[in-house]
Amino acid sequence: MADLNRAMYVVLVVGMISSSVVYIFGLILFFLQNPNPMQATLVRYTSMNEFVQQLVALRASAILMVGTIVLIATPITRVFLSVLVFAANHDRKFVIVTGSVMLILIVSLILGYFWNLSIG
Amino acid sequence: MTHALIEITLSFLAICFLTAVFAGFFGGLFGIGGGAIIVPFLTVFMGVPIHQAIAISLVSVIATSNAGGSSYLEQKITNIKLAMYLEVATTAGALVGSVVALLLRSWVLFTIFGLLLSYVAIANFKSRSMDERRIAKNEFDNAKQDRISKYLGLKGSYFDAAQRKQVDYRVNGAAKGAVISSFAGVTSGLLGVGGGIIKVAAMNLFMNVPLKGAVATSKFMIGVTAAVGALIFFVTGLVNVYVLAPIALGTTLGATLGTSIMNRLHSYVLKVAFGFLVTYLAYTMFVQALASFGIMMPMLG
Repeated sequence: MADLNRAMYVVLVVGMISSSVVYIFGLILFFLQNPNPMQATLVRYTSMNEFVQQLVALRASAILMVGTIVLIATPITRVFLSVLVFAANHDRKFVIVTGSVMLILIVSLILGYFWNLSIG
Repeated sequence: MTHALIEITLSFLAICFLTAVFAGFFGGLFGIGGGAIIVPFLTVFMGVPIHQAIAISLVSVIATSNAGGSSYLEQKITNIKLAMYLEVATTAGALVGSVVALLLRSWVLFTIFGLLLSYVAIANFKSRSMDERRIAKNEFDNAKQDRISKYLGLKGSYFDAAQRKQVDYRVNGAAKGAVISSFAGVTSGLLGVGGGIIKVAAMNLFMNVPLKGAVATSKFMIGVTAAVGALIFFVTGLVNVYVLAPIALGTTLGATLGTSIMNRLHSYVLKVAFGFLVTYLAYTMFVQALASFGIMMPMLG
């Protein structure tokens, strides 16, 4: 039997530590790159390419974006992993339960994407 | 799309961070995300536009759920299966919530939540000594289960450090609990919260789950509920990462502190403190409902 408690614990702790480290790094970079106070505006990228370029250039905004992606990915990862753990343990009922949660998460991602397109 | 004119200085970061530690601490104690503290703080004091505040709050709820959720997993208080079962209802509710938000007038929503929170506050005060009494008599373990709870094998146990007793319980009222939890999801997308207040109440008052089991399980769940809204807001580009970073770091630290002392406190202390917090939040809901009619009431003390 795969240990569900342990698996969930590891996902959450890795998500917590890695996002915190990335955020602290990003904030330090922010003050190094902006000696004068700056407006907190929304960060938008027109393409994936632009994001990658900013990331490689170690722009604070791109690093903080990575921390945010890590955070949002954590609960999704833990739902996905729980589907796998229940499947490994042949717990069919809970594969269906956690699979439904996973499905709803995917639907909201798609919904957000189209909503984004509709408002430009 | 509004762009906030927020100037990022060290003191701005420090105020955000410290407020988030405070919100995270109580969130850890009560199994909630602290979004109900973060959103008014950002909009009223920091001048952040409401949609950005909701987006920031949703992601910070994930941060506090990672920190607090892992702590309660380590303490073996979390009921993972119960969490997974209720997550179906809360995530579906969160998805519906974003659609309903467009259909209903805001004062209607605020009034509904205000009434719901008032009920939770009163129920917490009234049931303040219920948990310890029922734990002493092993009543949580002697409950008759409904068909869903029995079929899914929903039961749990943990060690209550304040009462120095192993607590076993059997879940019941699974259908009722799921319906109430779906409301928790609806509030999440609308208000930028994890819906923890409603989840804890659903489990503790309607599903025969002792308070501490409900707190730990809710803390674990809120991250997934908030992820639904966070995903939508993130893809839409409304997450202001400069404000989010200090808030997320603060709630992480606060949740770590809160969850490390929760089990040592007596349930009635938690319930009374929780009752006061929820009373205040119910008040803010009514304030916002009245504000839609131009009636201004004092807020935040």
